[in-house]
Amino acid sequence: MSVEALKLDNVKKNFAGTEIIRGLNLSVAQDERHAVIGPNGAGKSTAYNLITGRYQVSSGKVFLKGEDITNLQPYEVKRKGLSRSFQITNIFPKMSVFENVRCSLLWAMGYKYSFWHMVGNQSKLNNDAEEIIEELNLKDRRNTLAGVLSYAEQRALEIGITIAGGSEVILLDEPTAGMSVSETEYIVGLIRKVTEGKTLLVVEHDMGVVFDLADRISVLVYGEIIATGTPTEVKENQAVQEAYLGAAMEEH
Amino acid sequence: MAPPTFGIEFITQKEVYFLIAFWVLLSTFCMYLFTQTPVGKMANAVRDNPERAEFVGYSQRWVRYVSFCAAGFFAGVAGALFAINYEILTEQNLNLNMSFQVLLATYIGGVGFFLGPIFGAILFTLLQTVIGLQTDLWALYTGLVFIFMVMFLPAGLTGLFAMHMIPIQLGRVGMLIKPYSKIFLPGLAFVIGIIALIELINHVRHHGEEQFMTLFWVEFDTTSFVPWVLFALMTIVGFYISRIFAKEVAEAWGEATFVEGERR
Ligand SMILES: Nc1ncnc2c1ncn2[C@@H]1O[C@H](COP(=O)(O)OP(=O)(O)OP(=O)(O)O)[C@@H](O)[C@H]1O
Ligand SMILES: [Mg+2]
Repeated sequence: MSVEALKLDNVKKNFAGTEIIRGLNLSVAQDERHAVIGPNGAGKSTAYNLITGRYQVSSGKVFLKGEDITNLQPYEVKRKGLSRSFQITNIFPKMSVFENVRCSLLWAMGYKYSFWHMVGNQSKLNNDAEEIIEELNLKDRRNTLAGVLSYAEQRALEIGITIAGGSEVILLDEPTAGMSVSETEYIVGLIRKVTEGKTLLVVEHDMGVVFDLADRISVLVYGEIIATGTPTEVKENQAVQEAYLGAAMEEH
Repeated sequence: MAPPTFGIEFITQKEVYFLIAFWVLLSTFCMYLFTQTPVGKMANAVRDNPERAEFVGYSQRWVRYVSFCAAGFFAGVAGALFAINYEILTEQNLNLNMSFQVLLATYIGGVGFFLGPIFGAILFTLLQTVIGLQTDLWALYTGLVFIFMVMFLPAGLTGLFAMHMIPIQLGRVGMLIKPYSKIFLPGLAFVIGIIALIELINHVRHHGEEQFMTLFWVEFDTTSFVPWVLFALMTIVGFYISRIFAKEVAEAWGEATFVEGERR
């Protein structure tokens, strides 16, 4: 078997003495679409924050394509090819949609801290930005300030910023939270399209979306993974039924 | 003494003026170019949302560092021109007061907009020279304007214009015209009233021997109670009416900038 795209090895995290992540083991294969489900407060977002360097782990290791990325800075993690979205929309509100996307492309396209390129003249950069905006279905909002977009549009832009630059591993945190049925469909379609050929890890509460998107599912309860497997395996798992899915499935 | 450049010695006011004008324009142009570079764009992004900037691959510290270096470069140009113009440099040119003035001009004009500091510097110099000729209290007024800006318009004057891009983009500027025109007169009365009171007090305290003073092109008797009552009334009434209308402005603003389905 080839090396895993993402691997967590016994990762732990304490906040003020309370263990929130209690020995997390997770491995996501190359090109797999992997969903993480679990009740509120289970530690899903915290796990993302540990992987992407927003928080420092208390112990344990995180590997990206076999390389140790434990406790790197968020920008270093991104440069190594892992990009994430946020549960609470985290865009550049006072910049236009176009600028949001273009800024997200800059590092990946090798501009670094350049002060000798004029971004306006970089045709590949600008074309790529336009293409992403078209994929997001935000073409007529191109020059709108991101802070003024509707919630669903902001969520789409959130994904756009995440996938811009072509990171190989994409982490999405509740991309469809708070959306209507039709908006959810639009976002799921978008996720499918833009994560084609990439490794996807997605946290999601909507079981419809999870079973629709995921090749494999991990169930995170109270800081630990209690089960991992294909959607069918997870659905039939007794422990999952008791801890989480039973209640979650009834809602639907 | 350095040899003349192209036969110009930069001694006359005119020569110095054109030398400075040239460098100011050139520097402004270069600064504009800087904003159009990758690191310039990311400086915007870092200001807007430093955390997300890190998640698109940029260290906010480095972006700030590069911006700081660029700022230092242009400050160096300004310093050189200052020396040529005034032919003297003392501790005063480096003290807190100087730094504060530059900061003040920037704030009044508007941080976060290319034209903001330019606009601020022009306005600040005008305040200093024009108002400075009219009253001894120009520093007080600049300070008051600064406090007002920080409290109510943290984005500065240019920010005030830029703020209106939102209702414009939403096609709802029309909703603001009525409340704005309503608050204009009482607001103006309040400002004139309070300035008049301040000037009156200043006059009595420092030029008490002169009975008459001129304010806003009107001469009046400072020993009579009429101007005092009149200006106090203007201030109080203007303040109360403005406050009532300010609510309407705030409501209209909320409506004009409301975005469907927005959740925070
Ligand atoms: N910075 C922090 N300091 C202290 N406690 C924290 C911090 N961040 C998260 N927690 C705690 O960690 C627990 C897990 O939070 P987390 O946001 O990871 O949950 P989640 O699984 O993403 O839940 P949800 O489905 O509601 O998004 C919660 O009890 C939360 O209060
Ligand atoms: Mg969460």
